[in-house]
Amino acid sequence: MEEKRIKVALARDLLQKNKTFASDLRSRFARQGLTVINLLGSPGAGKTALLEASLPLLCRHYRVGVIEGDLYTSRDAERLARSGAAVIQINTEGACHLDAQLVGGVLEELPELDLLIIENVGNLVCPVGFDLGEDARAVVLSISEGDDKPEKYPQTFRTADVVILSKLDLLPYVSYDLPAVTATLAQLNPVASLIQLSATKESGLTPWLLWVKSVVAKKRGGAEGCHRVCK
Amino acid sequence: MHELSLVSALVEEVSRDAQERGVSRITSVSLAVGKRAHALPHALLFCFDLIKRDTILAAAQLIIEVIPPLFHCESCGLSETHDALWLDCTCCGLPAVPTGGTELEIRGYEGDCPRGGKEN
Ligand SMILES: Nc1nc2c(ncn2[C@@H]2O[C@H](COP(=O)(O)OP(=O)(O)OP(=O)(O)O)[C@@H](O)[C@H]2O)c(=O)[nH]1
Ligand SMILES: [Mg+2]
Ligand SMILES: [Zn+2]
Repeated sequence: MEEKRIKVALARDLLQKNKTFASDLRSRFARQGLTVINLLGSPGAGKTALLEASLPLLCRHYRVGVIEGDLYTSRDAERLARSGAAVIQINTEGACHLDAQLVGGVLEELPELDLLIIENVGNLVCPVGFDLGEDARAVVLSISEGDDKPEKYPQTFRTADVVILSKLDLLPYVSYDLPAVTATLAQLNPVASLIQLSATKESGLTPWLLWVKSVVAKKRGGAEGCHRVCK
Repeated sequence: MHELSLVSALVEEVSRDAQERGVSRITSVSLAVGKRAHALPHALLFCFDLIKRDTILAAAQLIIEVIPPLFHCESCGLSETHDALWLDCTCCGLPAVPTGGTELEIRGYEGDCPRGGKEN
């Protein structure tokens, strides 16, 4: 039989599958009137600590659920068990980010909610390209990571709707150029607000709680999602 | 590792398309990878060699084209490609917005077709 050599042009986006799943999730969340926040940050930045400090307060106003993305353990989910929120664990088994399909797979296990916070896998790089159908992205950046992180991982900070500078209580103990970080963040992402707080000392939480409240209010008001500098 | 899931998606997508066209063997696949797409070409190549085994891409070569970021200045309208992750406009000095360089696109592939399959 004669073989023929063929050439096929495709122009197909490799991330299309996630984009399709994410847009399905977004419509589903819209139908349910559910506000979804994607919480990002490097390993140990203080994402879970922020939730531990703020969930008891948020649970007074909303029915809150949390999806905990973690490579292998359920430690973070256990830490949040007493918070009053419905917590679900996703183990990514080595994958460095959550994707929309993984999130979609656990939604059935959650009760009816007003607010869903997704703690992504601790990573400042990979989660950026994976839309989870969220209304807003919050990036946690801790003082102890060093002041060069926004410059080193610009894309994560560019796609943030809010940046939380955490572990502020450590400022007296480390050399940290706070004005330089503020300036870099303002340049990378002029529209994201910057909130400085300490989760373990439970200080400075109010602006964060107000920000969450504003995202919920915007969703309920049917307004568009938060502005992003780039996709 | 992120490249592994990207390459799995690539092999899945290309295999499906090839089967629909009656392609029996793929000889090359070309992929455009943006400089800001968070995927390393050498890691993609490594993963491709692992994943292509026992598929119709087993003998295929992965050809990667790296796309530099494109920046657009909203103040003066200048667009420029630059090998940086972020950039102040070289014309007016204001921060420019990156508008490209995040592509992860299967451009196409070549293969052999016993029954003379459909090109496009
Ligand atoms: N001093 C101080 N330590 C904090 C603060 N927030 C978190 N930590 C500590 O930082 C460490 C990491 O905090 P986590 O909340 O587990 O960080 P995470 O971002 O959830 O980490 P992963 O989920 O593993 O990526 C813990 O030992 C916390 O006690 C803070 O505001 N101040
Ligand atoms: Mg955590
Ligand atoms: Zn300009």
